[in-house]
Amino acid sequence: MRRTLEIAKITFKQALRERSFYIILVLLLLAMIGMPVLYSFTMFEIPRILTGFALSFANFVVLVLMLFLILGLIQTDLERKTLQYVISLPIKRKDYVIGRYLGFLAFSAFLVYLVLFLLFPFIYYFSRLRPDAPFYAGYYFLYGIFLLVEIQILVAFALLFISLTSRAIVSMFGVVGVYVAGHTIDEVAEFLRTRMGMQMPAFSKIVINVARYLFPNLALFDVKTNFIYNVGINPAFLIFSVIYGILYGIIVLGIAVVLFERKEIL
Amino acid sequence: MLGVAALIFINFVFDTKVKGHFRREESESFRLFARPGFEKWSAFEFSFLKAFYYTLSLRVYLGKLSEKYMTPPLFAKEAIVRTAEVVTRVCPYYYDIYYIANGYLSWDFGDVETANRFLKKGIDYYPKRWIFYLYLGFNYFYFLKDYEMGAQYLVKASEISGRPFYAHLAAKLLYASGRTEIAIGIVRNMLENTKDEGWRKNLKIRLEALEAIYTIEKAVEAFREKTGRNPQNIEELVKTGFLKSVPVDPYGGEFYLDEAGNVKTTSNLTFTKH
Repeated sequence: MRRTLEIAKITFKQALRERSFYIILVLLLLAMIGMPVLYSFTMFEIPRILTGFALSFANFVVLVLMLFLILGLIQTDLERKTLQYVISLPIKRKDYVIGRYLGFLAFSAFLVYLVLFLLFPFIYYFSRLRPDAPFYAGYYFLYGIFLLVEIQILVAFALLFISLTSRAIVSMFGVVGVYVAGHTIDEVAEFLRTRMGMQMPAFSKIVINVARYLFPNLALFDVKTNFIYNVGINPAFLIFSVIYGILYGIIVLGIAVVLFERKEIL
Repeated sequence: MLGVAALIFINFVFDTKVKGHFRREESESFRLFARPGFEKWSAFEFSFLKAFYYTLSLRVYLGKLSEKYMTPPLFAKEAIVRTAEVVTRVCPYYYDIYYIANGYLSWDFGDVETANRFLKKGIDYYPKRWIFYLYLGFNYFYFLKDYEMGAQYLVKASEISGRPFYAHLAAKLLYASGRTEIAIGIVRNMLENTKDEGWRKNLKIRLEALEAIYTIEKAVEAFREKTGRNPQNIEELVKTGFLKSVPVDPYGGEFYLDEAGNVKTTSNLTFTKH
């Protein structure tokens, strides 16, 4: 456990030193400057528009950064042969995978809440200036949890793909594929229930249904609209969604650990 | 720094020289959309941003058109309807689009049915948003002359917002359109559901006035049936026994009959100076 945490700590520090992190900080600065501009552009419901913008921004930057960061760092490990060095040390391979997972997760949490906290004063100020809609500060910060649950699933998948292949680009496509499938599978399954969907060939239906039960349902964690407009919020369902996400991520991580144990590292 | 300066320079040159040269040939058509379902699907988890961006594009587009045309040209209607269809599918809670669609479609293009369709869609998602009921009530009253539907929506707006003014308005508009009986029903219903004593007092006065009007209206109708003409004034109704006495307007005005035999009052159902 101590070694796992050590690797997690190293991962966090590495991520902090990455250039892409500084690019995100510049983007964050631009987003902060953009808030007053957005305020002047908006017709109605300033608090909701600004909250929507801030949550979408947090979602986007954390998603993109984590994707590049994870694949970049592990690719570096593979290319520079640091991985060979690491696994020659008296640490288990699973410590490496779990350590990386925890490190990335901690860094994601740091990043998500950094974005949310830095944009909060702007929303708060402008919401008071034109309070034509309510601003749900609690939901604003709670959204971070849902984003993190989604990110941890994608981190687990990234580690899984890295265990399967040594090429970062393949892993990247894999994670992007999971992301797209995870966000659309619900809509596609919904389509199957329509009259048009029922006329689809049986094979297509089977493929869609298999995909539905295989891929994570990432749409569950997209609660931005619910939180911005305070609609359709069912606490029990939200808790179950988070539990589902965490369990799913842990299972994928477990598979990644098993595969990584068997991976040939030359 | 030199690289950033070069980027700014090239953008500046392109924006002022190149774009200015081609601007005259700029098309007036709006962006192309995929089917609303696909637009929703392809937004992934950024449906709010997509709705915001499309609505903003529409506003910029309409703003540009307003510089060129006194009233929005007919082709802008297509852009508004399609954007509203896409945005209300991608993020149906995004309020601005309902406002824009209703404003332009009903006022500028006279397509009140489509405007109402979007407002009703808004109600599906915002059943407690009284402003949608108010817009619908107004559209039915003012544009479609469907007074009963208009009154229904105004009463709903009044119930949800807790502002009895809209129900008052509904009753007043119904009276003005010759539907006094329905107006009485609305006010009576409001009276039953209002606890605020101040408003109850107002409603009682309004009910009293409407009932007086209704009594005169019934007398006019009976007079017409018997004589085949309109009475000259209310006093004639009293003299001929169709009315026991001239009812009193609780607002302080005086009831009279216009040329068509409709019951009017000098108070116009308000306490303002007559």
